[in-house]
Amino acid sequence: MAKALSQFTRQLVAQNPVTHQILGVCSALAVTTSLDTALMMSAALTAVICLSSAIISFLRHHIPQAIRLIVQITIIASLVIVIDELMRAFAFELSRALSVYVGLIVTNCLVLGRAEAFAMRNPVAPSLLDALGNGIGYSLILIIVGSIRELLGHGTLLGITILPIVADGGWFQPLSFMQLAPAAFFIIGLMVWSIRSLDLSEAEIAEYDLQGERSQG
Amino acid sequence: MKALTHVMQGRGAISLIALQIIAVAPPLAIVLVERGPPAIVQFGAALLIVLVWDYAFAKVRHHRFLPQGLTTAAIFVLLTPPDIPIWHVAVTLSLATVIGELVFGGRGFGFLSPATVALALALLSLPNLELPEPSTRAALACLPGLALLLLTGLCSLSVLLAFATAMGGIHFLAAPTDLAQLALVAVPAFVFLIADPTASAVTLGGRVLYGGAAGALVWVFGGIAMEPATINPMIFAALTASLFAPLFDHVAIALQTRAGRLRHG
Repeated sequence: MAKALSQFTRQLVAQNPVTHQILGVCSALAVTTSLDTALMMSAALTAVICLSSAIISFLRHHIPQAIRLIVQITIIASLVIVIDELMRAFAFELSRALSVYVGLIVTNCLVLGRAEAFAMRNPVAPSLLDALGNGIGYSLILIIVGSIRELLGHGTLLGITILPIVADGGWFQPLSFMQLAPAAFFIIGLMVWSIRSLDLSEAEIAEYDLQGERSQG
Repeated sequence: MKALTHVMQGRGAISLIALQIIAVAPPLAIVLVERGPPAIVQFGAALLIVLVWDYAFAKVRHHRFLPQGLTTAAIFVLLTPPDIPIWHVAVTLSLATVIGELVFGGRGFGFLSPATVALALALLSLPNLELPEPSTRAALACLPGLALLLLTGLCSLSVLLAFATAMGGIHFLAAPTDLAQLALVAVPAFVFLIADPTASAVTLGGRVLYGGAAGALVWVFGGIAMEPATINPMIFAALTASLFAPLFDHVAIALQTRAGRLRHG
C-alpha cells in the first residue's frame, strides 16, 4: 500500500500523465480556455478513470485477453455516457461549452492507457489509487493552464473579475492570444520544459551536441 | 554566398547580428524620432526583455553571450505602434525569442525569424491592432540596409526577385491597390522579415519557391483587393513561407536530383 501511495504522489508532478507521459494533451488544449470548463473536464475525467479502473480491475480475471480492449472500451464508454448525461442534467451550460470533449473521454489515451497498463494487472485498491493519481495529475495541469488562460485572456477567474479590463473602464488589456489553442500548447510545452530542466532524470539524451556542431563549423 | 555560408556554420553570428543592426538602424532612428518618447520607452523595454533572455540562455547553456535579440527588438519596435501595453511587448517578445530562436540554440540554428514570430503573436494577441504605415522616409531608409544585406549575401537576390515577381505579378493582374502604398509597406517587411537568411530557404530553387510563395501569400492573407495595403498580411506571409522553407529546399533538391538522373541515365 505504501508503494501504491508513493506511486500516487509521483503521478502528481514527476510522473504526471500530461507533462511526463504526454497523454490527454488534446483535451487539455481544447477545454482550458477558462477555469470552469477545465474544472468540469477534470472532474469528469477523474470520475471516469477511477470508476473504469476499479471496474476493469475487478473484472480482470474474467476478461478474455483476445477481446480485452473491446471490453475496456465498452466499460469506459458506458461510464462516459452516464457522466455526459449527468452533466447535461445538472450543468447544461458547461456541458455545451465542453461540447464533444466529454464524449471524447472514451478515446482519451490516458483512461485506456491506465486500464490496459495497470488495472488489468493489479487489484482494485491499487488500481483505484493509480487512477486517482492520474486523474488528479491531469486535473492539476488543466487547472493551471485554465487559470493562466482565463486570467490573461479575460482578466477573470471562474467569471469573477480579478484584473479589470480596459473595455470596462479598468487598466488591464487582455491578451487575446491566450484564448487560442496555441497558447495552451505553449504553456504546457513550457511546463514540460521546466519540469525536465529541474528534474534531470526526466531529460532526454540530446540527439546531437550543439557545442560540438559549433566547434566543427 | 560565401558570407552566408560562413554565418550559417555558426562562426559569424556576431557579424550577422552586426550587419542586421547596421541595416535596421537608419529606419529605426527615423521611427524613434517621428514617434517620440513612447517609442523610445517601448524600444528600451523591448531591448531589456530580449537581452535578459539572451543572457539567461547563455548562462544556463554555457554559451558565450550574444546580443542576438537586438535585431528582434529593433524590428519589432520599427513595425509596431508605440501604444501597445508594455506587458504585451514583454509576453510576445519573450515567447518569440525563446520559442522562435533560443530553444534551437540561437541565431542561425532555428528556422524562424523571431521578429516575425513576435509580430504575428502581437497581431493575434490584439485583434484590433493596426500596425502603423511606415513613413516614406523610414521606408527609403531601409534601402541602404537592403543593399548592404544583398552585398554581404545575407539577403538573397533570388528571394527578392521571386518575391517581387509574385507580389507584383498578382498586383498587376488582379489587385487595384495603390502601388506606391504597397511598396511603402513591402520594403521594410521584405528587408527585415521575409529576407531573413535564417528563416528562408538555402538552395537556389528553394529560394525562388520561398520568395514566390511569400509574395503570393501576401495576397492570400490580405485579400486580393487589399485596400489600403498593410503590413499585417506580409507578417503572416513571412511566417508561413518560413515554415515551408525546408520543404521548398527538399522539393528543389528532389527536382535537381531527378533532373540529374534523367540527364545522366
